[in-house]
Amino acid sequence: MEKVDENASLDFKWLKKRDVGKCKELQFYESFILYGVKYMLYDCVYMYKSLRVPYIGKLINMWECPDKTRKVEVHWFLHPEEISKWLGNTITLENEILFAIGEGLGLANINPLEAIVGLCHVVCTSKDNRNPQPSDDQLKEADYIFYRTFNVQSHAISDKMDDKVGGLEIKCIFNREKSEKLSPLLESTSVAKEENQNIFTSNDTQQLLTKSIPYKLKDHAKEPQNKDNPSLLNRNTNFTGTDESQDRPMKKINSGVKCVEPGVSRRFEKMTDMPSMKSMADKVDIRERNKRPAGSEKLYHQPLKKLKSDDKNPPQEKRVELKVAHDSKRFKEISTKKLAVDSKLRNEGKSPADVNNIKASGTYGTNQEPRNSKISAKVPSDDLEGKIFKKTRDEGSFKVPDNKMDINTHVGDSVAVCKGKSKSGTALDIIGNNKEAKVHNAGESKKEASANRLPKVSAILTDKDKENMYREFVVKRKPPRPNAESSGWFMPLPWEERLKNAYNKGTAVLLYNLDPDYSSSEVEDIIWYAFKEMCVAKILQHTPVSRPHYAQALVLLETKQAAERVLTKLDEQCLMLSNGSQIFMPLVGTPCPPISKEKNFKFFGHLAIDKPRLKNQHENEAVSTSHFPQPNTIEYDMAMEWCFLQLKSVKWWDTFYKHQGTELENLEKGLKKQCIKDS
Amino acid sequence: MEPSVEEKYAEFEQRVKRTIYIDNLSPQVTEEVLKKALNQFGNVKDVEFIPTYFKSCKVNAALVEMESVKQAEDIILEMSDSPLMISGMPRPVRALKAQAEMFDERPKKQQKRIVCYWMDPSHQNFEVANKIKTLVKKHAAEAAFLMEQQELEEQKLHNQQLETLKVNHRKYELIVGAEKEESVKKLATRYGTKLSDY
Repeated sequence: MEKVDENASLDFKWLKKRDVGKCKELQFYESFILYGVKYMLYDCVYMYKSLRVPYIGKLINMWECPDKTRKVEVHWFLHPEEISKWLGNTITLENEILFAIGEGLGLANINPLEAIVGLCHVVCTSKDNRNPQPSDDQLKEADYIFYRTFNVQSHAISDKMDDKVGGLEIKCIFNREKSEKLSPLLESTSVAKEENQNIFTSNDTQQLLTKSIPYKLKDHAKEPQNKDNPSLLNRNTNFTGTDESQDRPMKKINSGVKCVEPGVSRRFEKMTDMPSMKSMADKVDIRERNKRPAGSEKLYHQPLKKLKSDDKNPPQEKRVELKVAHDSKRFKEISTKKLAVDSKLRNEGKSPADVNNIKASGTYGTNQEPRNSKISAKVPSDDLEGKIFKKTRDEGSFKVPDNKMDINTHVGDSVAVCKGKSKSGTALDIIGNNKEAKVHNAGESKKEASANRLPKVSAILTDKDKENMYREFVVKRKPPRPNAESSGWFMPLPWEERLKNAYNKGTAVLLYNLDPDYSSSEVEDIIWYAFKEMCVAKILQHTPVSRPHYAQALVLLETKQAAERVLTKLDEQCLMLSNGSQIFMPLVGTPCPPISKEKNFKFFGHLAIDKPRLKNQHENEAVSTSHFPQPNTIEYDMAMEWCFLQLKSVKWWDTFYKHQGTELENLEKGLKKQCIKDS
Repeated sequence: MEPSVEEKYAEFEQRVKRTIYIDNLSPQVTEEVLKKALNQFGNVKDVEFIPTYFKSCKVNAALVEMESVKQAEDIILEMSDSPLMISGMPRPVRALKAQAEMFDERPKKQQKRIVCYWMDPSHQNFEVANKIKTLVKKHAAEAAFLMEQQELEEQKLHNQQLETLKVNHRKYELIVGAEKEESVKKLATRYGTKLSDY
């Protein structure tokens, strides 16, 4: 028996009636048709909410009052944004919603039936036994998923489902049995989809599309916390349009990411696993990426320009080489320069010294001029690899004397020979060789002489020393220091002082690639065992912007020579470290970067107005302590902008380190196969 | 009795859980200020600043140990929700859970053997190892570069906000100044409108 509504313009029709129950006046129903869509009891619907993401709820009751008004009772699903305060750092999926349970405000509401906007496909992915697991198709079609509940009283999140959840039978919460068919998608939801199509460009045919569309709705919506959303949105367009330096880091990340996962559409890289406020950061990403096809030429020019202006940044070079298929001449030079470096790397193990020097000159800015000129001198010689082989290495090896005091320029030749003849080029060999070569250089052709001598020399050396040199050694607690650090009569200075002194003297070395579990004393032991040098070491503290995979340590050696020796030895050979597990990593050492002398570096973000009028006492005090600003103040808005920047920064560091991590892993795989040598 | 290595480490881990990592601090923030700021939420046991040695690293941060794990977690939640400003506006500080690696001196995790060796250059993995070394250096350079870029961003935002602030301030001053002037009052009476809100 159907009750037909008089108001035909509303396109409404009640369908199945339910038993009246207690209340005689109200007529309960089980289903109805609104605007051509059939809604059944326990369907999930979108409820109208002006300008914002529509609420999602489950129809648990529907009836008509005696005065012909129609009501529905809706049991709410909660968006992560709505409960971000209690979610904290819990990660929610893109299109996840939470089912409200408990008693009190926010559980369910009675609303006029006309507030229903459309049907919503919500699939329950809870792993509960009683829940029919959704098929992949259903997941694809679903607008939202849920598997957790939020208790509106205790504000707790859980994924356990009791028999009766929020007053409803559990069967109503879980997915319907497969035999029942859900109502077909309504126009309104597809309309929502279409709106979002405008933002996306054409190649969005991927599965993620359906998942992320409702999320896009959220992006549009004004979130309750971010008051100056409109201005932020405006700012976003500014960023993408005119702001190239902004684009550059993003481009880096994007292109870096692209390198790693070329298959996935770039847009969706960062769409997974996002706590609520990050949706803003996402928006920027998406706009960035959308903008990029248009402004891509400009962006590509940027790295090149940077290279022209300062030759310092090898990382830029590498990126340009990898990603940009540009055929400007300048670019070719750069890439061949890089190729030259790489070819050297491939051919012999000596060139880490060179590369180190390039890096050192590139990043630390000391002795820029002479080294830069050397680098640029290499560029014209980049015709054939054979030529590069000799010439650049010679040039490169000229730099070595800067570091090594006791090796003279003959090392260049002997190095060349060493490389030519055998791959073993230990520093010791060369030193020994060098001395012999010097003696014999007088009458004979240098190369032949040292060539002749070398196998013998190395034969002698390698038999005994090779065993010792290449065998593993266990680092134990080192023997007690002979001089208690050369004197026991003065108190050791605080670390900072010592570091400054060491830096000035040139005895400070920065070590990379240490296992994060090491402690400072262990590092000292390692240095003792490997180099027979006493030192003081300190593991650097990890910050959110430092490398997550491995630790760094500062090592203060005793003399400059010791420092240089350590550095060159680390460069030329590989000291492999492990910590008990089978993973070995080569230790990397560089000279210590410049120490910041003053503590008061420029801090951005604190603004002050020069007020001509006198401040009263209270104002002075107020600034020096802390406070939470009210949401209706200017400072709150500005704080939000800083928060936004912070989120972006977190994202780009994350992606950056992820990218680096994968790069490192790929190389590490090569090492993992090896086992410890027993000589 | 000397506590065993595991016990020491367990104790250390507890300490880590109770500690908050706070950064985006202005260089003028002292231990006192931090303590006062966070004492609103609980009892601060200890404040330790993370030293930055190099010119390239511009993060100013501190590790604040609270009395209990709950206090620490509450603070972090609170600060992620609404911005707390210490010693200046409007840049808020950021609070994160502390990690073991952030601490300066940490006890050994367990007794372990450190094994190392000099790799034989004729070993086939020598090149791979060298590649790793160069990669590590490259990464360090990249990180430094990214840090620079980040700083540029911050500077830009700072300047932007300063500009708008100045402009707004001037506007307000103008309005306030105008209200005091006689001419505005006369205008008000002429138009028959009230100057004040009440």
